[in-house]
Amino acid sequence: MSGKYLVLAILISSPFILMIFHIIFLKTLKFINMNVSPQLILFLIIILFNVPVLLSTYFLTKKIDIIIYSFIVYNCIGYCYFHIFNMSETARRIKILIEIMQKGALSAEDLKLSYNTDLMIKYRLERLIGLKQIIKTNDNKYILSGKILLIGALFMYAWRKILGFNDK
Amino acid sequence: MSLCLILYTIIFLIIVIAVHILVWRLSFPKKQLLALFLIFYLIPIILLIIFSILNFKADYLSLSDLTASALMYFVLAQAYVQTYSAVQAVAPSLQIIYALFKADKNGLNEDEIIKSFKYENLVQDRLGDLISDGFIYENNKKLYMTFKGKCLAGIFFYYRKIYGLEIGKG
Repeated sequence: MSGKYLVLAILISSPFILMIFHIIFLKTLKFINMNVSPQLILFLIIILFNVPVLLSTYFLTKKIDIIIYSFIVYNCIGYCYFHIFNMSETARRIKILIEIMQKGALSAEDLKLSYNTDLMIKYRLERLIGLKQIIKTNDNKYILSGKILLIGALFMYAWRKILGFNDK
Repeated sequence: MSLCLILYTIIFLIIVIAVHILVWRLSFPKKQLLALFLIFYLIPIILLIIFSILNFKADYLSLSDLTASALMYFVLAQAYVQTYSAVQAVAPSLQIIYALFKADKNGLNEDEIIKSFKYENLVQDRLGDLISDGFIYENNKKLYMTFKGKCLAGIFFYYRKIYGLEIGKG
């Protein structure tokens, strides 16, 4: 089988490999009672797996353009996988759907009871601290400490303007 | 997979995104997911089939290059579409980050952050999305899932089970 097809096979199987390693790491950390953000663990795994993916691409093909291709495709796949896991943790629409699935039906009042605005924001603040994007100061204020999600936030608002969303 | 082909694939994606912006600006779609599916997946798949037929006769690209280019386009498209869901829903985490960015260097306390959010924006608007995208429907003031909604909910429910994690807090 040509090196190119093996590289494609590695890239296509990468989300499943990421998932397996993510599960192993999370279960190991739980076993040793270490509390680390699962999103942060996944992010680190995705970054680290660049090494075996790019090394195997090099040994299979020895071509720089295919290495560049692998880098782009693998990191896009990693990004997509991160998004899927993050959605399972944080997406409001997914949580609403699962709640309706578990209860059969939901009224607007049931939803208001399950969806407390204060709690939703508190969970997010905890997650953002776990992801090292914000910190809580001694006088109980939150300030930015990371740049990655800030870039995401600035992109989000800029892109909404480009697409014509009304944010006023 | 030459650098030229990587570039052409990226240029194709940029053209698709330009079409997406044009459609959103000219006639903002009610069913955004369906519109995204048509623009980013269905139309490119049709173009890929047409190109594959022409390629079979003229042999512009090898099968491995065609497959590689298609894979690259679809993962880039998927990355964009998944990002779009956070852009459309104005992800609360990103709203918090933005609010802290706009605040002075002393930051904001929890109450100040919570005050900037409304239940309507956090939940009602997302319910509206689920209804317009056909995942749930309302009947006698109660919300029920469609078949599509059950499939999606089931996928995430069992996904979390494989991880041994509880359902996400939302």
